[in-house]
Amino acid sequence: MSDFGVLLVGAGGVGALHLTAVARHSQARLVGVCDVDADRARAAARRVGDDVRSSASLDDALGWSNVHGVIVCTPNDTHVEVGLSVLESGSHLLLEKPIAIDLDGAEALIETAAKAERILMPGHTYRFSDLGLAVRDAVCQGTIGRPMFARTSLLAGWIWGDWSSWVLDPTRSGGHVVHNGVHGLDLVTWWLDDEPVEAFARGHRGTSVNLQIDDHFHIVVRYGNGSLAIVEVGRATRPQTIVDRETIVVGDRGVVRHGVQDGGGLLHTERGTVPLGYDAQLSFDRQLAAWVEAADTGRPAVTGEDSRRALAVALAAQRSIITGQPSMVES
Amino acid sequence: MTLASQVPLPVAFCGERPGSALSIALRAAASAGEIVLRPPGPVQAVVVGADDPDPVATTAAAIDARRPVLVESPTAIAAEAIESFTSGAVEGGVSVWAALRFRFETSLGWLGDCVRAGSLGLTWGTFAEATWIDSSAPIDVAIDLIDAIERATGLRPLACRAVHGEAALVASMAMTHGAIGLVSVSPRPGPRAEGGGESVELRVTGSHGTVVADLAGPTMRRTTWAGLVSSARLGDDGWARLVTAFADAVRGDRNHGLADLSTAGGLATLLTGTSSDRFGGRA
Repeated sequence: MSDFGVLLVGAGGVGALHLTAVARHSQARLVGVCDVDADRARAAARRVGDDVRSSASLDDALGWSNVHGVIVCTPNDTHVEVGLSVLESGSHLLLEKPIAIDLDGAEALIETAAKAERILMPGHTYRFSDLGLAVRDAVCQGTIGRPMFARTSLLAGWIWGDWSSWVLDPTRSGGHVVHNGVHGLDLVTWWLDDEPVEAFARGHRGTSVNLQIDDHFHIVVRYGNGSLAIVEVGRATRPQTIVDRETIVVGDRGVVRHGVQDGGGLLHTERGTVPLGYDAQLSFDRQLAAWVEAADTGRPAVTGEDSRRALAVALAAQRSIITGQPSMVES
Repeated sequence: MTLASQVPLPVAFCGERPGSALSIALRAAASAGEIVLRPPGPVQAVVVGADDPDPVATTAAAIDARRPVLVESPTAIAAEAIESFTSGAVEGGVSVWAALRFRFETSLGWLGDCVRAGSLGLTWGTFAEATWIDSSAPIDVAIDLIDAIERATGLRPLACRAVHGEAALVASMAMTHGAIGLVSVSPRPGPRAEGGGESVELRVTGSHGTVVADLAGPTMRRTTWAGLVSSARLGDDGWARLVTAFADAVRGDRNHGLADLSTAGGLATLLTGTSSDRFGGRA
């Protein structure tokens, strides 16, 4: 599609990364920005150009002409309602992860997209990172043989500002295991190419015991063919930025691993330590390109079913943290 | 480390695999004149190798003969037998140790110093991982790693759930002071090749950063806290220090940090019990 008109819904932090990706794409063009905060929508639109529209009304924005696709990066508990509106309006949908905070919502989106014959591509951006792609390539090329164990660990600092952040409210975010856990869960499942069966998890509230989410947790996933995976996420360490990031996939003929010191070294600033060679914007650029391409081919790089699967594991993990017992993944 | 006495210690090594790390360490000690392996006369101590065809009988015989014993693979001996051995050894005044060697690695000692000095702030997470290792008994390695976590952090596992996959053993632990811990062991399938990517690491995370100790030789350390990153190469002498400690302990009848077999048995129970997650602590 030579001119792919894009509407951005949700002009918060991650919205800026999406806007940059649109600006960098040769065929995508930003039509407008929608946010419940009209001033924030207007400011985001003005940063791109005077001809970019803005609105606080989703219904109005979906009625604008030349909108072919909508990027939704609103709080997690609104994904289903906003996503359904987008699909029913006839636009393709790039939806920030998690696809929903419950399985019913995820399935409603998948069914609606199929009926409307529109692309639903959840934003599992980590798949488009250098790390995600390199490991997947190693697996697909048979470099390590059949993958049987995968681990991804991300230990970093607090990123949610003050206590009013919606992410800290599990009724809005689904909890940290859902909000950020789906990133790693999608990655390891993608790499192992297997069906998750059971999850066991433990959580920890490092920043404050008064938190309602576990800002530090690990999940152990058992797969149908005997593979195992570990997803470990921490957002409780000082300094704010990443202090450790590791990935390892073990196959029957080799191992692929990536550590915080790989890919360009480390950058130390006042705000903390950042691994070089990790370009988050590049992941968003690739993701947007894959979505625009899918509008033509009908084949999204990440499907609604992929995202539902990651959510199902995250929900099982959340149950496990509460009960202290392993929990089956709802298929 | 020098031996307490320069007179070689007569030791019987009971096992069939000459290439095991412990047997190599013992041979090195023998070549240095510190230990006499398979002496013609009475032995003073017994080492039960991981591949001893009947480790229970060997250990029992050694205890009956009132000879100190070092057991390489604690899981080769059932928990009931370990209890029996422990009580029998106590009655006979005999020491029975498990060859938990990570506690003798230089990098582990350094990591423990970091934790005790408060460099990490509050300690709330630990992770030990052995990948692509040449081992037919991943649970023995896991026991060694949990012991290393305890030694370095002072945290103790209160509950554990272990999952055995096709290629890995993974144990998730709830630990004292609200911390959580993970151990994963992924043995390499098939024969080991040179430069195959083996790694053994222990990471401790606290409120102000992480420290990582490499427990495979040559051992490394890596620190990331408060924005500071550093790494350094340390020694690779865990096995040698273990054997030396064993020899010293036998000679001097004092313990230089060796693990009692019951300690390893307790960790084995933690890992192997089908209801291990309900394990509420251990003696």
